Amino acid sequence: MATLGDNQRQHRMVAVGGEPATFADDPLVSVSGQFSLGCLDTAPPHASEAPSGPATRPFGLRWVRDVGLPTVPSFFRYCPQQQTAVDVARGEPIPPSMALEWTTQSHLDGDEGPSKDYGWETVPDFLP
Amino acid sequence: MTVLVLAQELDRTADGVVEGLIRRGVPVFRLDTSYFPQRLTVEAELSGGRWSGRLVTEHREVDLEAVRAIWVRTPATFILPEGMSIAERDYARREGKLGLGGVLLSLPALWVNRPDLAATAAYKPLQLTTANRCRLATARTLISNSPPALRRFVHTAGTNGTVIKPLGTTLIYEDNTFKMGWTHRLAPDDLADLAGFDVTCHQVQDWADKAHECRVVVVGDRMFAVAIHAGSPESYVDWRADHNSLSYEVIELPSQVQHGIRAFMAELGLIYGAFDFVVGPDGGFTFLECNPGGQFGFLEGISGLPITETLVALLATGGNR
Repeated sequence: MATLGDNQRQHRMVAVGGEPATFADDPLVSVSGQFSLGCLDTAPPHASEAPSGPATRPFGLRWVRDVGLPTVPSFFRYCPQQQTAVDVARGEPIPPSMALEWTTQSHLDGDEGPSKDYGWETVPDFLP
Repeated sequence: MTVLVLAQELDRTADGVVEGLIRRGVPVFRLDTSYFPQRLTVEAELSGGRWSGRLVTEHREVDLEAVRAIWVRTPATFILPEGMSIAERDYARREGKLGLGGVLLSLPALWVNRPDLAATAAYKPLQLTTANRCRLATARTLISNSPPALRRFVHTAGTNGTVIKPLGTTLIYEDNTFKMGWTHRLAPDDLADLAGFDVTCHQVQDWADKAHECRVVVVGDRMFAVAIHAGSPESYVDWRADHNSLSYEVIELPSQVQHGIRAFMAELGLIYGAFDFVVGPDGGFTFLECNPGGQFGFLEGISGLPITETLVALLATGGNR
């Protein structure tokens, strides 16, 4: 059964993909354009491109590393009545987590590979 | 009074704040802005110089005049109906932002943080000059897209060399995966080919002599400082690059640093901030950055510091901005 989070994620993939963010792209207005709205759940955009090439790829991107795709949590979902996460099977509240729990899976070369755990800090602190 | 929590659904750090507020008996309205317009209705009328009306979702509603505090965690962009043209979506997104965002910003509530102030504070060059004015030490810094300027800067650096670090986040999506970058110490070989340096701004700084790093989470008047000790070459350059190697230690900040942080927060109008410092072998603190929306859950989980409870208490008191 799809959760609300799943639905939202699917919609967002449609909403984000390929659309120009003209309002937020104003180069001199502060990054939020008055009211910050990000896409922090790191749902993959609609389309992926390869790096452009040495002449146009920003120098600062030379040292980026693959951190994989975040996996959708399977054991909890958002409960709109309680406004917090609940256990998927029982619908009961689960304790809030302060642990490092953004789990991603590397999928390079088509190898599903073992899960890799990345900390909260790998989630961008502040997205425009 | 009601606390409005602007957060995405699957955010367990936000869960902690929501539960803390509920335990205190404080009404909470948790909302992801992505609900608008399909799952969120706004009704706002200007009367007597203030907005009244309500926000309504399928499951609950809140009276705008009851909102006393707003925690901006990580609300997501609007999800508009499918089938709209690009022009229509652009228009709808802009109107929604100015309308919903504008109504919320006009509420006489305590904002943690006010989004416009947080957005302005996100500019690193502004942070660096603000930090200097607040007597927080900073590293010599270059921001440029000029290869000759980079070479000049690097050649005039001390023996510790320089680092390159993003001005924002380096999270990108390409090759069907997410990629991320952290601080990188520039080596002579890196300068042999500067292709791509000219296509955008880059931030380069002198390497600050480092014993360890320190993250300071500020919630209102409270500060929580944790020393972060690296356990690998990668985390020595940037602790975020290798979490598993880190060890942590709750510390007291020197009073001068505390004063500087308070002045920084006041100047930029921030209520919440996550500061990163380098702490040198001599104990001196060098300001790296302040993240107005920085994560705190991992730090609380590791240290036991009562950051969530402090934030809950702050939101529960509300107040006028």
